[in-house]
Amino acid sequence: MQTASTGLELSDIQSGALHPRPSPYAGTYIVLRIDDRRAGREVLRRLIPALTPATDPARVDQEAWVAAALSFQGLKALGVPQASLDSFPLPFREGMAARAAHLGDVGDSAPENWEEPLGSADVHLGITALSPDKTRLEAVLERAQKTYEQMPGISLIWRLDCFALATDAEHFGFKDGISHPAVEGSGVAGSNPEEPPLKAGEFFFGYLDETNEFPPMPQPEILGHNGTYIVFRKLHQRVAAFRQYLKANASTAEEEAFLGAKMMGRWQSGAPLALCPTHDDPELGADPKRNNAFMFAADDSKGLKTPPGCHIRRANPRDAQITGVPRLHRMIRRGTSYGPLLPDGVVQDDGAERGLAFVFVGSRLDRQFEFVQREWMNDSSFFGAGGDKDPIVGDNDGSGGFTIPKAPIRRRLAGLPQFVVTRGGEYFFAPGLRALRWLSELDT
Amino acid sequence: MATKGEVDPAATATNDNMGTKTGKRGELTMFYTVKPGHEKAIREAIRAFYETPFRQNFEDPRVVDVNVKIGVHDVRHVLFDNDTRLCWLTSFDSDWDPYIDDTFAVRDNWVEYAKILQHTNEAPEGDITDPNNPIQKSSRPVKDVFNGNRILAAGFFPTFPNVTVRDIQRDEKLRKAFEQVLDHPGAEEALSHPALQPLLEFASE
Ligand code: HEM
Repeated sequence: MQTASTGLELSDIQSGALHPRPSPYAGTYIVLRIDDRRAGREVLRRLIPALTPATDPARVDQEAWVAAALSFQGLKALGVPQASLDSFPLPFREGMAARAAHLGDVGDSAPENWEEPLGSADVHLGITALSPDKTRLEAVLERAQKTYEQMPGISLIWRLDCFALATDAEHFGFKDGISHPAVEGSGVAGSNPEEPPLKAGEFFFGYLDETNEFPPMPQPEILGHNGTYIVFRKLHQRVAAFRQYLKANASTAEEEAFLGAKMMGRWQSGAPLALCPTHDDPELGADPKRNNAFMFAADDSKGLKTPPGCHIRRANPRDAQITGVPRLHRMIRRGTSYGPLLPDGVVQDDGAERGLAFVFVGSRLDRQFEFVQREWMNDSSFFGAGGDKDPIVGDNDGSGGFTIPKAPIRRRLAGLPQFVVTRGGEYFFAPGLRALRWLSELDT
Repeated sequence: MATKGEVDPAATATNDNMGTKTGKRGELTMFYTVKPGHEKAIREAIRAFYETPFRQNFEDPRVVDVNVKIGVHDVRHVLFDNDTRLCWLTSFDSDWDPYIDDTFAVRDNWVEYAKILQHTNEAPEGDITDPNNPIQKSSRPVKDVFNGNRILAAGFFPTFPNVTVRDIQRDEKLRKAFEQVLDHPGAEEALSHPALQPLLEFASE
């Protein structure tokens, strides 16, 4: 039953969707193809005891947590009835590759250049395992492996190993995993004391959302309730190109750091420009009580501290003057890094694959992920800067620029190249635990 | 209630009793019925109407100049009820009568309009490609059909009712010019002159 109460059924929701991960940690994403629906259901049945409910959040003293999610093709492969398949929204049914033009996945990021088998109809079941260290991760993976290995009709077709450093820095050097919204009824505190908790329906099916409606829930109810969507994107980061760009536009190392901070909206330490606009403050960056405690409207409407075009102000304009309502386009993020670090100071590309395994959690692919990607990352009409794109993650092609507001005269960086390239991805549905059991017991 | 045909189809171009206006902005809303069997043809005619360079190359300054001269903000065609009916909407700077006269004076393109209208019951009978058809000589038949099928909007709200397409065009040019000024290394010094004080407010963004 859809419930108007804010009481989230935490024992049924997968923990990974709701709880920030530990750090540091090691993690692995794997993708299975299901050629035999009965075998697929058996894998789910064996997997369920390993999955972590949200009542049992990942703690450093805990071994690991595991989460599972299915693509549309995966639901089909499990033999989910047609009426149920039809109840999923179009973007999910089409899959991420088909949405390329919408998402700005063109040129180097286009699906024809994606890493196989990402974007293909073979991607069915995604499993993630995270653990505070590699040894414990291996133990968990081994156990997960037992659920599918030597099972005819199930193939492991893709794997990605990820990590988070103790500093939580992503490859461009910025502390990640700072800002996350509070979800009403979850008991998980948000990181910004000035942002009221978001209605649970923004993230989980069966609860009221910010528009005071229930988000469209996959049917039947037992399948949809307590579920959510997961967007997975493997995003390659051109770290050398990013460093070269900063160098080319700055005359000192300090200025490079300053330009980088202006593009991100935070210093590398995580300290927000909103609270320390002129210099880094590592103590502030490391303090979870303060490093996200800010809004924009009251003292920075023009963006003289935090540029309206920088990554974090685009990704979450908070209370800034924009076209639209930021609260309707929020997301939970679970990004993790992959690939070797490019050593400090190196500005020549070493050809290595490195980047961010971007993970989004939310109840609306269209209104949340696709909207943010299209309107906020790859366009600027919402704050009046025309066709500019996000200076870090936008699908730039060297023709666009980035405005740094400054008194008396703004600075404009020109010729922005593309720093982030999509290597592949997929839309997944992360069912609640009861729903997974229902799937495992299908007898079509 | 305004109904179709409330306005005399023979109304002259000086009839000023036509059109809902908000600020400087006027609107035109018309409803037509599609001739049975012409559903595909009218869709095709509408497609062709929008595929002319004047409705495609909207970055081309020559095209912009012409559209600004006409004063048109937008045009929209909506086929509905299984393509058996057509709603035709537009908004523009000025009153309706001068607008439509000036439109045809700037571009003698009323036959373009007739190519759509010929698939409706409201258009006069006759082959519009026939050299003896009055449409070949004058825009009057098209204007008469427009006037005869117009329905006054009960409400009309543009966010900037007093900003004309000409204003928008000039503001665009001004904005680009100002960006160029700001990109100049000497901008800070130049803008420090007291006379330019009002501009400084915009220089930091
Ligand atoms: C390789 C690509 C990306 C990198 C390196 C990156 C990096 C970062 C960093 C360093 C932060 C600030 C730390 C934090 O608040 O956690 C951040 C925040 C954020 N990013 Fe990204 N990001 C990437 C892609 C994306 C994409 C594709 C989206 C959305 C479609 C996105 C959405 C967000 C959001 C919503 C925030 C939080 C903003 C806030 O609440 O202040 N990011 N990102």
